[in-house]
Amino acid sequence: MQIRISDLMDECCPTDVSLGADDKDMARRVNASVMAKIGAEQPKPHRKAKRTLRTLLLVAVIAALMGTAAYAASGWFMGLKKAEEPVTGHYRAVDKDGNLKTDYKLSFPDAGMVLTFEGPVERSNQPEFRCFYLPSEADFGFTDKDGWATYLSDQGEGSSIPYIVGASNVRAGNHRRIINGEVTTVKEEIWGDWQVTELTSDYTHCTQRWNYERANYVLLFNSEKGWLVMISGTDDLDTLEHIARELEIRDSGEPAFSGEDSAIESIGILDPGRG
Amino acid sequence: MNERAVLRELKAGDTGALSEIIGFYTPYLYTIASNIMDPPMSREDVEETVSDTFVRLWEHRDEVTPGKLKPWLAAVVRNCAKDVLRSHKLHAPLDDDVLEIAVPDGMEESVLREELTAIAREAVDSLGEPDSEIFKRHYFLYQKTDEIAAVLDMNAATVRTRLRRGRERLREYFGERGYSCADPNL
Repeated sequence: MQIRISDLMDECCPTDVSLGADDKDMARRVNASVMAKIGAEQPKPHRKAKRTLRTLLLVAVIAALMGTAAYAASGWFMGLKKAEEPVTGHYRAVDKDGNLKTDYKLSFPDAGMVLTFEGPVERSNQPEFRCFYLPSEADFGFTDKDGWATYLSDQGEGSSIPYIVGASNVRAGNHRRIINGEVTTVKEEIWGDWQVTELTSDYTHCTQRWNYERANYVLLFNSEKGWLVMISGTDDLDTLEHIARELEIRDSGEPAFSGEDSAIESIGILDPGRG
Repeated sequence: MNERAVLRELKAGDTGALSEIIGFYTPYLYTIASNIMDPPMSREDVEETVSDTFVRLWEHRDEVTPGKLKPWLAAVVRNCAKDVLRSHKLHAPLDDDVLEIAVPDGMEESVLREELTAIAREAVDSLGEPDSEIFKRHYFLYQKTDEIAAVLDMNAATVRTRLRRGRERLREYFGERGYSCADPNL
């Protein structure tokens, strides 16, 4: 039979060879044609890694379903685990000489999910954010003249807290965070450098009284920086996700909040209005 | 371009990453497709083939591993270009491209092609430089002998001699592995 040598060369790419001169017009035409064929809108120019991380520009993502234990990444690790029984522990703090100055017991009988963190002792600078979408006007928060904030919320009235957006550094070691109620993981995705977890919590069967029956959470965790940005509230998950997608998040240049540095053990509550 | 990072974002469904790859590799792929298709096909046909290559990358983005993007794209654009020519009952315009090969009866074509491709890669790798690069430029990138000669600062006759030597080596490798082979051009 006749065979073409060129047809047998598929594995013989000379990878060191460069070809063709840069032609931005042609690249633009090809790009437009490709985007039309895959049914995507023309994306904005792709951003290389910069100091500012803007989830606004991170276009949609795969549903790369990850197990909760699959969060291992470069610097930090966030573990999410269902609480099988009441969560108990201590709040312990030491003075500047390392002597224990505060120690009291903590118990959370309604805890549904426990978040733990592993990573370096040194923390990155405090993250801050700007919101480019909010479903209602914020009525409480700490915002500078350019709109940068570390905490912003619409506290609502009565039985609702529509949304709270908060940015913080996580702490490794014996510093847990909990979410109360019957917690269900709705979605896990990767948005660029951010691990995204969406949770919903049902408080119907809690032993303590709650002003609302359900709260939702979008957790954005940056494993390189050790940053946790949480959008939580009684608004539905689609609305909270919309807020999350249109956040601009950056390094504030300020060291991580040091007010709790004396604590050597803690358990924090993430539920809206309960932290 | 940070290939590892851009592939990670591509696999996450980021069309911005796809645009970055398009911006980077369009000239390279256009040149290969053009070597294969133009003439007789038009410049627009070549661009369309390059577009189709990137669409395939999008559809198969989970299959591409870091460090392999360039050869993956090059192999796909070659196949896309040749498919276009085949649809017009044409072949890529290379001289001295055909081998007569005796194939065992009943051998499945895909198995045969896989085996011959592996033998060919081994034979080409055994050529040493610059013969290996010359052979790859001609039979993978479809560069003409005078173009190769210009790029490598050689006489065109020298390039042709080295290509002939490569085809002889290929024939030997096939023969040693049970595929009796004749090169009508030798």
